[in-house]
Amino acid sequence: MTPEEIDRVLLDEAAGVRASRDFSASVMAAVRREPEPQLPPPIPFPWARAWPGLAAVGIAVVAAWFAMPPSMETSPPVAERAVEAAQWLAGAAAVFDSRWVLIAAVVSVVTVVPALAPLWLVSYRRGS
Amino acid sequence: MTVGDGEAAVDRVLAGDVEAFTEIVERWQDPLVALAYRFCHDRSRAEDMAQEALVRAFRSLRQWRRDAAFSTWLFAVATNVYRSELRKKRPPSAPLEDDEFADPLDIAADHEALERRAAVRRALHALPAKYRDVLVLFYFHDMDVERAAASLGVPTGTVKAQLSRGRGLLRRKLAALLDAVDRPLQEVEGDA
Repeated sequence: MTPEEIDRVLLDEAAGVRASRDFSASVMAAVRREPEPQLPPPIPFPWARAWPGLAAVGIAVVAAWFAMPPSMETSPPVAERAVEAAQWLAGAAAVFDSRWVLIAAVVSVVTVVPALAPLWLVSYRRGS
Repeated sequence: MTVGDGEAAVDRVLAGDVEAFTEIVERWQDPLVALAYRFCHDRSRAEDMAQEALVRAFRSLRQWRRDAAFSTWLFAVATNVYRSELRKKRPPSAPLEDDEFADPLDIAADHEALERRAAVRRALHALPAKYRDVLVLFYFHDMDVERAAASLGVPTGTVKAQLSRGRGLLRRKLAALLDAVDRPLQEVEGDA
């Protein structure tokens, strides 16, 4: 037999094979005996764990509102503080390996700036 | 088979309307019975296997993740059921053909063709399961490698490799079977 003949035989193998007339009823009878499939319930948001954290953040923001100086004018301007920090870093770099100091400084800035941004914002609004 | 092949009915079933599963059964019963028949060559057993596949699909309906068409998932479920059924009980040796309603003259005329078809079936079911299953699904899905791979849950590369090896084995087994079938006929013709 040629490969084409084999293909033809295997393609036609179940030609005309259909479910019997009562097949659907038989399947549905079996299905009705099964427990209903249900979607799993959605995972609830863990409010019990989230509330203490949210409350702490709220208290911290309110406390910062009252603890911050009334105006930005009383504290040195940001640019002046940045220059001081840069001078200090330059002095430290002269003593230690500058690469590690630089990496540590960058990591600190990246970590601290986003955390303090809300407090700076509150301070700025109170000052203005 | 990708759009409207049962998704809406699945949603209704999952919402608690069990009767909506009738739509899925009626849409897919013939292909599922035909696929089962390809595995077992017994109409009655094919219906039992297809029923088990549909009940299994109903039971695990929520596991359909909708990243593939419903039909792809359904055929994969059915293929798993059929393969495990065949592991429990081997199919009977392939009959010559369902010829109970055929004209006797036609039977005589088609005898050789029927013998050859039966030989192909016997050769297919004499293959190791991994090659037989790939070949069954490949031909069931109209020689579509990707759909065969999806039904088996294996990569298309695996299917291609097993198809190549399986077809080679099939041809060799078939040649041996046909040789055994043809030899007595040649002896009869030689005597005459």
